[in-house]
Amino acid sequence: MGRTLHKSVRQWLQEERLDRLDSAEQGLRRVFAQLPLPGPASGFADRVLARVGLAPEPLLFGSISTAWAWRLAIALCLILVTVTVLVTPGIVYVVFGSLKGDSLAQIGTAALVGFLQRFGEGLAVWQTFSGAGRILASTLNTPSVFAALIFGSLFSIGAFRLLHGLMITDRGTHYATTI
Amino acid sequence: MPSEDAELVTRALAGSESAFRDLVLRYQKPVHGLIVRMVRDRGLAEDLSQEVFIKAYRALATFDPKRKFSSWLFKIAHNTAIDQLRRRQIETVPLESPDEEKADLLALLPDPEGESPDTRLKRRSLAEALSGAVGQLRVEYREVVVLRFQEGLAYEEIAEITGLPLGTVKTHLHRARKAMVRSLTAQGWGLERLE
Repeated sequence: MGRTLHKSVRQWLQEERLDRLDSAEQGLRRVFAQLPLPGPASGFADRVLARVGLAPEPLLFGSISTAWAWRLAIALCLILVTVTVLVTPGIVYVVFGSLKGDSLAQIGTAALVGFLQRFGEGLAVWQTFSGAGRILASTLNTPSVFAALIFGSLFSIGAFRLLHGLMITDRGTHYATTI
Repeated sequence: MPSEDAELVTRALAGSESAFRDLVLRYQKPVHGLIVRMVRDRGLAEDLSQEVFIKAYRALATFDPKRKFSSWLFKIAHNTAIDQLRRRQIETVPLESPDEEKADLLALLPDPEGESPDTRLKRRSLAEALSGAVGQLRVEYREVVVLRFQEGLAYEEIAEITGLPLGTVKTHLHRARKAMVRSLTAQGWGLERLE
């Protein structure tokens, strides 16, 4: 196709250069025949017929067979979930049932110690941020900084509006050529 | 084909769902093709194409079987697209074709096996340049170009569909072709490069 399109365009341009109307038109028709053209999305006819009342509304998933496939898939998923729910307690029992009481206590204690350590670290980070926040809040509370912030906000709003206006008005309305 | 169309219309008027479905299936691509080239928005073209067939169905009783069904349908498509363009007050088109259109075009281009990446790139680039050249035409030129070169209609049919005098159709086509040549050349796809 690549070479054919290339060749067709070349032939068409040659005919145009020679100003041969009929051949140029035929050439351009050949070029168009090779240009892909997107068609409407699948199910177009069904949608049209539904809108004129000649057919029922198309199903969500395209066709009856697809809808049945979806129903089957959903049913299988439900069965899978049910089986998992039934089997999981048994697996948990097998895995943890083999552990002895003292090992369970060890695991529990280690988990609690680990949790408390992480909690302490979290609190330290929180205190750092809290301190920084307090300093920032007291700074913002001064009239001069507050006024500067208001001014900055208003200036930003104005600048954005101006930019938006420029984007709207600067849309290209060009022709390829003067015809 | 025209007699088959007339027969399908008769059956559709008698309430045959399959007859109207056949008409839609037969003309959905040409109608959509014309509208998508005119409005240059695939989603909108889909909606407008639906509108065309709905209007056609409702006006089926007024169709004169002596006329070509395709011309009658294209006339409805033309009016629908023009109404839409007027509503949106689109008198000119952006220089660049929309990204969506490019993406559609590239997605539809087949990639022959054994083709080198360079050749593939050139082919895609040329197809894109051509599509861009059509897209840059004024809407009235674009329409006659599509009807003439994509759908292969006669000048007289185009004049009937667009409501333009025959001479104007020919002039539009001539100017559109020349503009396309200039546009391709400007995009670097002149005859010299293709030699």
